[in-house]
Amino acid sequence: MTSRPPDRPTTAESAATGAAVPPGERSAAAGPAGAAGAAGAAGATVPPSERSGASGAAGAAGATVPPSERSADAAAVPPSERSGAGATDGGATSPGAGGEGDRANIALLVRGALGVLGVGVGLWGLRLLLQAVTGGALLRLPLWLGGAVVVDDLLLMPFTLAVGWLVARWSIGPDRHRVVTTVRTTILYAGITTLVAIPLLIRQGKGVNPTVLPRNYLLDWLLLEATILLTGTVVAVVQRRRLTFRRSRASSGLIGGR
Amino acid sequence: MKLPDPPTEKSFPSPLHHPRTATMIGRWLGIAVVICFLTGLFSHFQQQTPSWLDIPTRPASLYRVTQGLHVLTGTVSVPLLLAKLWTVYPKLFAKLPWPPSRKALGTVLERLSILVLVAAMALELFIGFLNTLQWYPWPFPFKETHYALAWIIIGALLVHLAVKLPLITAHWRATPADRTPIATHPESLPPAITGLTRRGLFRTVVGAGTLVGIASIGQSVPAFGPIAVLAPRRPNVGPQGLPVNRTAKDAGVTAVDADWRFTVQGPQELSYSLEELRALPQSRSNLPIACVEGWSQGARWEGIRVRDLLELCGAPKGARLRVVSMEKGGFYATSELPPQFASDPLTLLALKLNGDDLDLDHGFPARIIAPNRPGVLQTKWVHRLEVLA
Repeated sequence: MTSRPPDRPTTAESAATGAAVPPGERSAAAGPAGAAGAAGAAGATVPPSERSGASGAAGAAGATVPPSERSADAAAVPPSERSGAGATDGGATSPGAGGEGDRANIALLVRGALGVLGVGVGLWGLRLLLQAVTGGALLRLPLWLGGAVVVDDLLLMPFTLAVGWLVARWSIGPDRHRVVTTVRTTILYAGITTLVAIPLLIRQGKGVNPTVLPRNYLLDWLLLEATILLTGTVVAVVQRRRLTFRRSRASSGLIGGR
Repeated sequence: MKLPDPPTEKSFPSPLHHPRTATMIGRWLGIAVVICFLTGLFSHFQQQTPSWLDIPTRPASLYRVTQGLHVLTGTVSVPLLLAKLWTVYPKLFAKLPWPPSRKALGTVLERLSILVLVAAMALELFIGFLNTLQWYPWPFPFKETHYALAWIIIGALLVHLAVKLPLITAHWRATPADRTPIATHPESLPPAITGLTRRGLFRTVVGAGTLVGIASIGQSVPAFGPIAVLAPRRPNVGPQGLPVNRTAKDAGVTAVDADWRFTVQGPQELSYSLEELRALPQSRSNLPIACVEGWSQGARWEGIRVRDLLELCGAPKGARLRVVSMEKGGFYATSELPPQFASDPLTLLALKLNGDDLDLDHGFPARIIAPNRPGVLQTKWVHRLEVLA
């Protein structure tokens, strides 16, 4: 079993101890205005790790490297995220305790049953497939299956990652940090709706009868993308305004930066 | 010149590639897949009913709901599947274990099962969506392949769950880390300011699914029809305000002769001209046409109850019926009405639609309309009923 995600930078602990990183959900709303100023200075800070969210625990953890995500040999899984409540998760404490052993056995049994059932169901599907598809079509079906994987893994994913990387790079510029989330979401929504619209656009006017594909899909698509971009722009403008307003109040020292 | 190294698992620094995000998005995708599979199975059984199963006639709109859900969950699965693939994408570049060992063999088998899962699912969603456009650019039969791939997907999914169960249980619950912003770029401002949280990612993915869903649900829910910009149908576009799947021209039905007769073959033979059919007691049913391709629309039908015709010809209770169309060839030139549908008071040999004679494309002079049945079984251009038992 491979399930090792990329390691989190371990130096993150130091950043996590700083008070400037609130565990808050939406940076735009939760970040104290001061953070914006402090941010410039702290340019080199590293992301807080897993644990930083777990409030005081992170500080206590000191220099230890989180054991997180060292995953999964059959029975014993370390709980990768030690949140207060998470400690009882998933049957993963010290081995050897009686109850734990039982649970591990049950888990193993469940997994075995799922696996056997899955193989059986899959083979049933394969049988149906071999009955339905014959001759030349059967030879070309693997090409279509492989093509689907190639399009996903070698086209769509690299493209998505590349765009994500560009957006992240773009976000370094002045005053862009507040709106980067909105920009990212807007691009993603425009992308996914376009992907779904592509077959409709290709087949426009080629429906087998006038009630199939009756719309003007080009116009519809343009309207849809315009709506998404417009909404994104409005949200971004509002976010930036709010930032400017808050910063001016902060610098005037009126209400302690709030 | 030296080529750049191929990427490795470590080349993807975003901590959003994490088992917790995979678990969360996997849950949603899993729910969508299960709904899609069960509704698809129901649709399959509607068309090839096994002997042990009696399809109920109520709720009358059941098939409309299940098939609408089938296409909706399939469409929404597109962004969910892409999000899931993005989350686990670095694993594609994980090194295969070497030298060979038992563990290495397990890893190879697991990755093969994932290859099967991803390939089958991506192709399934693709051909399913294109089928709603009635576009078939592939060399294999759609219906059978779609059905077989569904079983393969469920099998591979069960294997995948078996392999990942410890990881899934370990990351099932929300943790404070979900709310911790993470850096998106090494030179960027601190993550608290620029970063995306896992929760933020979850919301974005849910938002993408909702957006795609809202933009396509209108083919089954007429109220959303005007904004169904990603749907291949509008439920009110077509002759008499109803879409058409197979036109009279496609079916080889060009015109109906003046001496057209409708016959019932049973214990007694009945034969009617169109005028005589119109003179029989007429009933009304408000029933939807619900197509396998997901679109549906309610309509008012008027005609003779099939039940009354059975009585007139002296058929025994619980009789099955074969419905024969004037359609030339094709899978659906005949259909069967099981006893519960034949005796249902809502089941009509319809002559009128929304107040007017049927359009030729809707099956003039007479068609079957029954509750809770797929559109392909609502046979058009009917000219004979045969009592089977």
